[in-house]
Amino acid sequence: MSDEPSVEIVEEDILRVLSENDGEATVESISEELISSSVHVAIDQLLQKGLIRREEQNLVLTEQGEKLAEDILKKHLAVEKQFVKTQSNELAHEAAHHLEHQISLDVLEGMETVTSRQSERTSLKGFGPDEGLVADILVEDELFERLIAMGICPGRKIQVITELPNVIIVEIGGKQLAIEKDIAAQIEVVGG
Amino acid sequence: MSDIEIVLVGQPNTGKSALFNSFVGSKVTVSNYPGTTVDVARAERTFEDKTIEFVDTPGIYSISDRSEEEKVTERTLFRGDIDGAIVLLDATSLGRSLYLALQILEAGIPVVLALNFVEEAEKNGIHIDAERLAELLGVSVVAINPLTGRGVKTLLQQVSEIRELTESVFQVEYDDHLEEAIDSVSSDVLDEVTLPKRFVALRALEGDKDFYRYVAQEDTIDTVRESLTDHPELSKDISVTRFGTASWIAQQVTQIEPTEQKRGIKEKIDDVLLDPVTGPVVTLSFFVGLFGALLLLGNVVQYWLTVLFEVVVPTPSKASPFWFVLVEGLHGLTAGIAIALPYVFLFYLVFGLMEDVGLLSRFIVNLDRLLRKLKLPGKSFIPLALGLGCSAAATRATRVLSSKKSQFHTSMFFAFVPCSSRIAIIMGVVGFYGSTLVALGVFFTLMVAGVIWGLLVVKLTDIEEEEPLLIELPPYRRPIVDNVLAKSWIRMKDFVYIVLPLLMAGGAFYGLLKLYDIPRRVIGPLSPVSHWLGLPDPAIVPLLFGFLQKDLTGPILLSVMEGDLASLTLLQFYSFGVAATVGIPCVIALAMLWKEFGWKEAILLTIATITYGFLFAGLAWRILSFVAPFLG
Repeated sequence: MSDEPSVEIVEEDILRVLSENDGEATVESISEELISSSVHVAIDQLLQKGLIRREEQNLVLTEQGEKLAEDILKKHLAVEKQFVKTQSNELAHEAAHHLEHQISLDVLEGMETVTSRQSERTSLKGFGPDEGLVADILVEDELFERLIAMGICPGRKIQVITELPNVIIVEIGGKQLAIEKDIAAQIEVVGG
Repeated sequence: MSDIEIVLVGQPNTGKSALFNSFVGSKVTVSNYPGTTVDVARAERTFEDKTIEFVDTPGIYSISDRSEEEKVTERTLFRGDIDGAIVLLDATSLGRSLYLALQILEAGIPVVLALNFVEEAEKNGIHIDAERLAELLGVSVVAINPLTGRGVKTLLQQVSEIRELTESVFQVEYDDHLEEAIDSVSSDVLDEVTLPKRFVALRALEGDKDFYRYVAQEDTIDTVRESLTDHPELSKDISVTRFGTASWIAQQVTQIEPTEQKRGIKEKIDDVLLDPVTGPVVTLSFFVGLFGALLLLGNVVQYWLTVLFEVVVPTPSKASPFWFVLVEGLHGLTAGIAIALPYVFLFYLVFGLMEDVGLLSRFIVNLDRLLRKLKLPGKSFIPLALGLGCSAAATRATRVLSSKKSQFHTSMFFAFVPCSSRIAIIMGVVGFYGSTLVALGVFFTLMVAGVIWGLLVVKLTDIEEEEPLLIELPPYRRPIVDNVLAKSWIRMKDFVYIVLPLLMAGGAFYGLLKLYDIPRRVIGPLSPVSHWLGLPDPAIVPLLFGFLQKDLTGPILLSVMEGDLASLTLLQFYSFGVAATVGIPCVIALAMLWKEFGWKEAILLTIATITYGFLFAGLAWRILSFVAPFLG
C-alpha cells in the first residue's frame, strides 16, 4: 500500500530486524532499513511493553521480545522461501515484509516445511491412511478458492481417514471432507 | 414494507437455516431467484418497533461466481439495497469460517458476526475470546445457540441498530505487489459504483466477470494481471493470503487445551457408513425400509380416507352433471391427500432430519458411486427417492440439484420410478388379481427398463460428466425439531398449493369425459396398441385414462372388463402392469414437468417415455410368452 504502515507493523518489523542482527542494533541502522516515520514511536512503544531495552548506543531484545521476534522471523523466512520459487531473492524478501504480519504462524511453518521438502511431494490420491501437510493444489483458480475456503490450504495438516472407491475422506482443521479422486489427484501432500 | 433488510450468510453446516428459523419460524416466502435454479427464502419479523426482513441465502464457502448458489449469494449481497448481513461463524473451525466473513468485510457491508457451536467447541477444548475477535475486526460478535435460543435476542438487537453501527476498519493486507495492482485497478473503478473500490478491484483481479463492468476500461485488469510477473497465479495468491489472515485472526482469539479424543458411537456409525461395502448396502436398505414403512402407512391412510369419503359423499348419478363432475374432482382431492400426508410430508420430514443430523452427506457419498454410472449427480437420489412417493413432488424436488441440465436429466427417470399410485396398481391389480410373483416381475422389469433407458440417454445425448464430488461430512448433531418441522412444511407447500388443485381438476375432467361416455370411444381406434401389448381391446381405457388419475386405473379396468378379470392370463397381467406404470405419466407430473422445464421439453420427454415404455412392455410380453411354455 502506498500509505504509511501502522505503528504495530513497524513494531513487528523492528523486532524482526533486531532478531536478524543477533538481538541488537542501533537506532540508526534500524531507521535505515525501515524507511518509516513511525520508527521512533514504535521504539517507545516496544520499550514500554518491555520487549526491548536500551544498552548504550544499541537496542537489545529482552527475553520476552526474543520469543516474539523469533516467531516473526520464522514467518518472514517462510514467506520468503515460498516466493523464492518464482522470484528473485530481493523481491521475495520484499514480499515477505508485507505478508508476515497477518498470516498465522502455523500456516507459515507448514509452508516452510513443505518448501524444504519439495522432492517428497506425492498426490493425495494414493497417499494412504496417513498424516501429512498440504503442499500444493494444482487446480484452476475457482476450484482452488473453493478448496482454500473449505480449509485445504498449503501448509496445513491433513489426515487421510479412509479411502472409498470414489472419494478420499480427509480431516483438516477439525473438519471431515469427502474429496473425489479426480480432485484428490491434483492435491499434493508431503508426509509426516 | 420492512424498515431493515438483513441477509444471512454462512458456510454450509454452520446452522444458518436453524438461525433463520429461530428468527421467523415457518412463515416464509420461498421464491426462485430470477434466472437461476436457486431458491431464496425471505420472511419478516418485528423487533421493538422495527420490521426486519431476513433473507436466507444458500450456504457457500466463499464469495465467488463458480456455482449458482454462489452467484445468488453474491448478487443478493451486492445489489446495493440491503442494510447489512449476519455472517455465521463455526466455533469448531473458526479460521475457515472467517474466510467468508473477511470477504464480506472487504466488501464494506455492515456485518454482525454470529458465533455458533460455541458449546461444542468448548467440549473439544477450543475456547474463543469473542470480545477480542470483535475488537480485532471492529464488528459485533454474538455467541449463539439456535437450539437453546442463546444470543438470538442480542442478534436482533444488534441488527435493528445496524444503521448506527460504525463501519469495520479491518482490511486484509496483501503483499506489496498485489497491493500495487489493487491500487491501479481501483483508480480505474467507476465513481458511481457504491461498493468499495478496493473490493471491486480485488474481485476483478480474482477474475470475477461480474465486476469487470465496474471498471472503466476492461483492459486495465488484463494489463495489470500481465504486468505482475511475480504473481503468475494472482488469484491463488490472493486466496492464500486471505486464508492466512483468517487463520491468523483465529489463532489470536483461540485457546486450545488438549482433550482426550474418545471413539464413541458416532465414530462407529462412520465405520459402517464410510465403508466401501457396508456403506452403500446400509444406505440402500435405509431407503427400502423407509419406503416400505411409508407404503404400509399410506395404505392405512388411504383406506380410512376412502371409508370416510363413502360415508360423507353419496354416490352421484349422471342425472345431475355438476354433482357428478364435482364428486370425481373430490375423488382426486382425496387421492392427493392420501399421497401428501404419508409420502410427501413424512419423506420431507425424514429428509430434513437426515440433513440436520448429518447423515445426508454420508448417503450422498455412498450413492454418488452408483448414480455416476448414469452420469447423475449424487444428490439426485433425493428426488429419485421421493419419486417413490409422488413423481410430481419429485420433479419439484429436483431443484436441490444445482444445474437445470441435471434437474432435467433426473426428471427423465421418474417414468421408471413407480410412485405410490403406480405401486398401488402393481400391488392392487397385478398382485391381487394376478399373482405376487408377477407383481415382483413388474418391479424388476421397471428397474431393468430404467437402467437401459439411462444408458441409452447417456449414449444418445451429450450429457456432460457431473462435477466431481466435494462435500463436507459434518459431525453428527442433535436436530432442532422446530427447524426440521418448519423446513418440511416449507418444502411441502408447493405440493399443497399446486399439486392438490391439479389432482382435483384431473378428477373433475375425467368425470366430464365419463359423463359423455368418451372413454369407451377410444377402444376401437387404439386396438393395434392393445394388440401389441397382448391385452384385450377394452384394457386400453384404464391405461389411457390413468393419465388423468393414476389411482383410477384399477377401478376403470374393473369397470371396462365388467368385473371379469379372471379371463386375463398372468402374462396379460404382467403386460398390463408394465404398460400402466412405465411410460405414461399422470397429468400432474406432466404439468409439473411443464412448469419446471417448459412445454416443449415436457411433451417431448413424455412422448419419448410413452413410446419407449410401450415398446418395452410389448417386447417383454413377447419374450416372456415365447419363453414361458419352456418354463412350464
